Amino acid sequence: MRAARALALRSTSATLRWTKKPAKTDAVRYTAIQDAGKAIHPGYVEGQFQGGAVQGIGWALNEEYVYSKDGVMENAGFLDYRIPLASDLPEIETIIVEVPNSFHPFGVRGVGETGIIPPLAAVGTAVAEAIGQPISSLPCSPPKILKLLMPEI
Amino acid sequence: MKQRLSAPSDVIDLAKIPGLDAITQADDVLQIGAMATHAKVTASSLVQEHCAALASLAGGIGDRQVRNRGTIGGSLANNDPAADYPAAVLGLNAEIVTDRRTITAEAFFKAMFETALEPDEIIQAVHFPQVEQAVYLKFPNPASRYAMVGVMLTRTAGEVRVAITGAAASVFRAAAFEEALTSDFRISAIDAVTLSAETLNADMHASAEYRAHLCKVLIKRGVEALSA
Repeated sequence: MRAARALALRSTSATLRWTKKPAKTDAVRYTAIQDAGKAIHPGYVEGQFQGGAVQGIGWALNEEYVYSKDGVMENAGFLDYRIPLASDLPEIETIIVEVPNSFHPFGVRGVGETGIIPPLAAVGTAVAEAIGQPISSLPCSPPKILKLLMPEI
Repeated sequence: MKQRLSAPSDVIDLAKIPGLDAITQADDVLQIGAMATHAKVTASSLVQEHCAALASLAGGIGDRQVRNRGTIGGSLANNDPAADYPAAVLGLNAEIVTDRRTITAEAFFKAMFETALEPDEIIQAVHFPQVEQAVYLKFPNPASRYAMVGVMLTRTAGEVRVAITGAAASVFRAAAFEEALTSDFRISAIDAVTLSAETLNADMHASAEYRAHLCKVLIKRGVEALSA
């Protein structure tokens, strides 16, 4: 088991637990840091940060659309679509940065649907560090990572 | 029915038949009534004392809502290829008691969603003999949480049984691993043993080769757990 840590776009810190066999990755600590301008309702802002982080972790580790050869989506239900559950995730920590937006009367910035690019980069970088190989495509699902480590499988 | 695999004309609820959900023990044999829910099995002190691995397996099925409604009899009669109970019944060398006969685990599981049950035959109980050591290890499918691979590893009087669910069309025993571990119960004994991927499931979540690899990883972890 190894732990790896990575920073992406100065807005996200992810700590992962990675088990060599069977190449399974779990997020054990995750911090989302973002400038909200002025957080009018901090609880809601926190929720938006957390929602974006969870979606990003899902994309980074497991979520993907699987299409058949004739273009039909094969995992269109929750029995097959690999979305993370609350029990898969740690408490998502948040740090709300407040630098007032001078173009807005209340100084706010948009925080709805937080971008999910930082989590993909942070998680991908952490996994790459853990396995000692670059990651060029997501998700870092166990079969895919195992294939990188053991190409014969 | 939800999966459109069967369309019965009538559905008969067995839930209110008295005693059909009873959990009792006699002469080292644990008897679990067919209508015992997963929640009842996992919480039962009789089950925990008789076989902690069985109690923990029941506690890992589905989610809380499923565990409060689903029953051991229902799970076995359905024989879903990724269900947990088939691995327990086969690995623990249990017997299935119906309204007319007793069926061994080996004879009970026939194929995907197929069992030895006649169309009008009803499971009444499952008999679990005493085992010395048992452990159940499951790698859940990241979407459905069913077992991508589930391994029940047991050891009684030196004899090892390895029952695997989730990996193939129906639960099966890994004979080569059983043989190697019965003669030498150490991880090194199975270093050279492999499981052929030929008959294993392949789907969007994992290839057959990945499942074969996963089976061995879980068996090794089981040996480690029982040796500790």
